[in-house]
Amino acid sequence: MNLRHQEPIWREWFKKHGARLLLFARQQARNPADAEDIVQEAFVRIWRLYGHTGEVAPGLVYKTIRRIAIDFARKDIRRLGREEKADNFYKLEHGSSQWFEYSLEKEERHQALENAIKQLSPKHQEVLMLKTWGGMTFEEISSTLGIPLHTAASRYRHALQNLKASLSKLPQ
Amino acid sequence: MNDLPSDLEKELMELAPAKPSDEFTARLSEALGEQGNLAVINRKTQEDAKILPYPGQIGWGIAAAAALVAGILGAAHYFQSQASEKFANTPVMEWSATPAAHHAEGNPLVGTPASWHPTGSKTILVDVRDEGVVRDPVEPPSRLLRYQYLDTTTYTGNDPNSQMQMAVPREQVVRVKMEPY
Repeated sequence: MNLRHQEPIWREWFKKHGARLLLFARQQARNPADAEDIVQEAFVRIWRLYGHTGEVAPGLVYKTIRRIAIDFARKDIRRLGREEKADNFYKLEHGSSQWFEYSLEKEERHQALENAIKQLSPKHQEVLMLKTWGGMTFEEISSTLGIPLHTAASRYRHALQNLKASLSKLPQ
Repeated sequence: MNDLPSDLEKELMELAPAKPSDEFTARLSEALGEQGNLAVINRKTQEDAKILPYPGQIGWGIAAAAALVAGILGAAHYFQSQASEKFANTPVMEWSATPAAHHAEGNPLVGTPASWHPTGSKTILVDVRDEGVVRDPVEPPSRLLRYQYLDTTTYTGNDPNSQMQMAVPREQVVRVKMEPY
């Protein structure tokens, strides 16, 4: 008996790339709720255009996430100008968002790594995200972020140096 | 420059990004609406999954397809050697490259013994590979995606317990325009 059923391809695609996209959006957004909204908007926009082919290059979605995050930030700046209290709220929320899953035996170390990553500048963070978890080459990163190839490579190198410096200050 | 990952890079790679919640995936599904269902994948049963355990393993898929085709040719050879007038006169090697067309007509396959009839077919998307970006002086750049499918056909003989499967690998190359706006 044939018990096959059909499942939309986007679910399979999102299972594979969703966590990385969300991580990138969390780095780009000002709070976790915005990050989800940004991923949703970017993914739906791209999938509606190209989803019928069954596969979409993740680079396209990363690029769109970045554009939408910039729009969100602009709106936020206007909003924050009106409501100073929102800034405090953002800091509170941003601090509580967890970007990674920690393994039980290395929880402390993973926590320290995440904190160190969050202390990097946004420019270093985004290159680190795309290279380490997005699995992109420097060429793909330079195309996604619209920066020269050597800039992408040097930002990555500096990000690692800063991380190392930050982690070395921690008690062993 | 040293291309080997440093200890720190290895440690970073160990960190797994937090997974999206089920609620968020449900939100996406709602936001995509009907358009999310345009491209679907055939979910296999556990029994089917034993034949092709993981979509990324195209090597296994091709090996399985080759084994099945060899099995069919072997079976055809066996039938010929029975010296049955009926089977001996059946042209066993006239395989069509597009079995799906025959299914549509509901006819027994050309070249198989008359007692074997296709009873089901399915197409499995085995792998999708990103072949990179193609630049064109006139059109916007596009990304080449290579899809690999396995068209599997099941045949049943006069005896309901006798079944054969044939799997034919198929490739399709699709150009996806990269300008999102």
